[in-house]
Amino acid sequence: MNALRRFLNNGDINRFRLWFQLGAFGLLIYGGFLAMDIGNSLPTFSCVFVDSRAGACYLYPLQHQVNMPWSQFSGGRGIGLAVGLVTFFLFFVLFNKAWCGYACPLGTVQDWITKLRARLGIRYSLYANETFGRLKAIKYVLLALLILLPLGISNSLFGLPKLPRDLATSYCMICPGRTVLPLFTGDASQLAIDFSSRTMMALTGLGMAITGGFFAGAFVKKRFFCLFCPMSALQYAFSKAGLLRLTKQGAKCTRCGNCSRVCDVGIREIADDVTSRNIVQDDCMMCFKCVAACPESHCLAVTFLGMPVYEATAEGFMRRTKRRDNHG
Amino acid sequence: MKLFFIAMGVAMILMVYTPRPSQAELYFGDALLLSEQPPSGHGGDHGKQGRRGSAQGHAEHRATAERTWYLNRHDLHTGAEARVLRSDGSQAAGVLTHGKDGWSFIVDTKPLDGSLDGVFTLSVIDRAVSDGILTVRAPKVNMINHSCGWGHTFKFDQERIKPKIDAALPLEIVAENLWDRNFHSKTMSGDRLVVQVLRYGKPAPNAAVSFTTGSGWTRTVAADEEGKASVQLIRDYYPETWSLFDARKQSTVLVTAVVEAPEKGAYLGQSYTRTRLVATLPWRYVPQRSEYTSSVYGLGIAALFAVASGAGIYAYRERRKRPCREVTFDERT
Repeated sequence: MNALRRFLNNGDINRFRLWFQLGAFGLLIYGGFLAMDIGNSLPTFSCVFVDSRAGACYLYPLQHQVNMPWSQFSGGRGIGLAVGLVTFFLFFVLFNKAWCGYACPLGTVQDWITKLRARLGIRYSLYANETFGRLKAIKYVLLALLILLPLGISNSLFGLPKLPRDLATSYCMICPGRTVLPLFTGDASQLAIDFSSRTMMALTGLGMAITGGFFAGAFVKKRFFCLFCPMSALQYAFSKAGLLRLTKQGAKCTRCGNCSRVCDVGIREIADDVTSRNIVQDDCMMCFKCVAACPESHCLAVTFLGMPVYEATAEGFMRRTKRRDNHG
Repeated sequence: MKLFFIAMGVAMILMVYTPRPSQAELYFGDALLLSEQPPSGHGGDHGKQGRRGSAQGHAEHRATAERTWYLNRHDLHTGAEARVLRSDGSQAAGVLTHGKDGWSFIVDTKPLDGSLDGVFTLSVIDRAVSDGILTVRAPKVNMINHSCGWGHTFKFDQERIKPKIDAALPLEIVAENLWDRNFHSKTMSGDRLVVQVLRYGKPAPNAAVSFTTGSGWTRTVAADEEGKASVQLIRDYYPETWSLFDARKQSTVLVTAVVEAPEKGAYLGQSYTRTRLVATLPWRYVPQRSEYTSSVYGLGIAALFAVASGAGIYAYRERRKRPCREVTFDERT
């Protein structure tokens, strides 16, 4: 058992993640060709606009399901909404925010763009602490709009008139997942402006602008879009219940800052917080790069149901450093 | 952050309400056809028109325990029967009733567990003898019984989205490729609608097949040896102004097949020397996507924002580059 644990702790999580992401991408984007259907409540961007997907991102059915009159929330459709939410929760609770770091196809595309930038020798950008704090609020605004807009189609909110039906899946219309992911199946039909109504024109126009910004942003900033992702905000609401956790023993932390420096999202708290046990932040995608970069034994650990599955060890850190040095 | 909120604000302002035109009444002569709209043209159990992806006025994405269909005419004869062929190939009872909305029959779609996910074929057979001619009217309709909540288990099962052939029908029109793999209706203007005319399940060559749109445009062709006929669906929707354009606007096409034969016999004690079989199948189609979308504008906007963002980042980085300031100390001081 100890030998197995040592083997895991000395392992290269980044390489494992690279192959896992590739497999997850293939599964979620092309799994439909193998008649795979994991359901409509996946806590990751398995976009419904990809025809050959193996499952659907929960944000799309969520927008559909909340688009109903108040009176129906207590009826069959309300049960449908609850079932969807519970299914999402069950999927999510298993792997927590590792859905973002390991399974999200849009996240994987961003990582590929990052690799391209690194190959070209262009340096990456970081947000200032203050900017980071301001930008991260956007995902909560998007999540609120994502629920309120469809709700406002079937109901009069705050005494306002009902909203146009074209806002039914408003977030999907501006999500880069809709425009980017179908390209991997040869479908470029989403790269268009829909002039059928002013609402659609505004949404698809904004969507294309965001797509342009997505490519430029992801090129210079690692996991650029994840900071604005409403799925990340929704996930964080349930994150405390996750069976997979990232834990920290503050007493063993020397605040060297390695963990924060390797973080693709740029979370500072991972280094600064020496009091919390559960260290998962709302922007964390649980890639566990921080664990691999931590030189202090048992300071950072990945646990599943309280059992450590991958821990920071001095030996593992040294081995990974040596391996990286050997590979240039 | 500010830019984001400004963009969101502009988008919200642009999202003003666009008035929708009222549904124009459609006339298809004296053909007997099935519709989810009662003949009075208003009301009905599920009269929601114009949902995206709705083929027959129903939201295709929601499961309902039963669906009511109406005949557009009141003149059904004694012995008229309704038939329901379910998506799994099983036959279900169809009961015709006459009420304030005329003739109707209710289709039981239970159980609502997804096991009956797919296309139902509903039909009515009405026979009457007049002036020595047996006239058989066989209106038919294809109904999708689907809820996205059931998942898409049958996504790659073509049999589920292929209308079943009812070999008991004296004359039947079978349409191809009406739904995509997600069970959403996919017919658009400009598409070619291909139908096959069958008589008791076998091809009916030379049947006169008419395609009539809601505005009255008609094209009649003769079915080939396999009983097949096709037409390219014309655009049948021209709103007065672009602001009235509705991408979900469903244009209707009625396919009518007529076969006449010098067949002798007797029906309910009345003899006849000729038969005239008339089958109908209504379908709806939406405007072609290319009519209201533009990839040029889309890619233009994306490219503009990508270049502008890239240029902004480059300029920002350049601005932050500071010339090297060498600090020298005079060791003697």
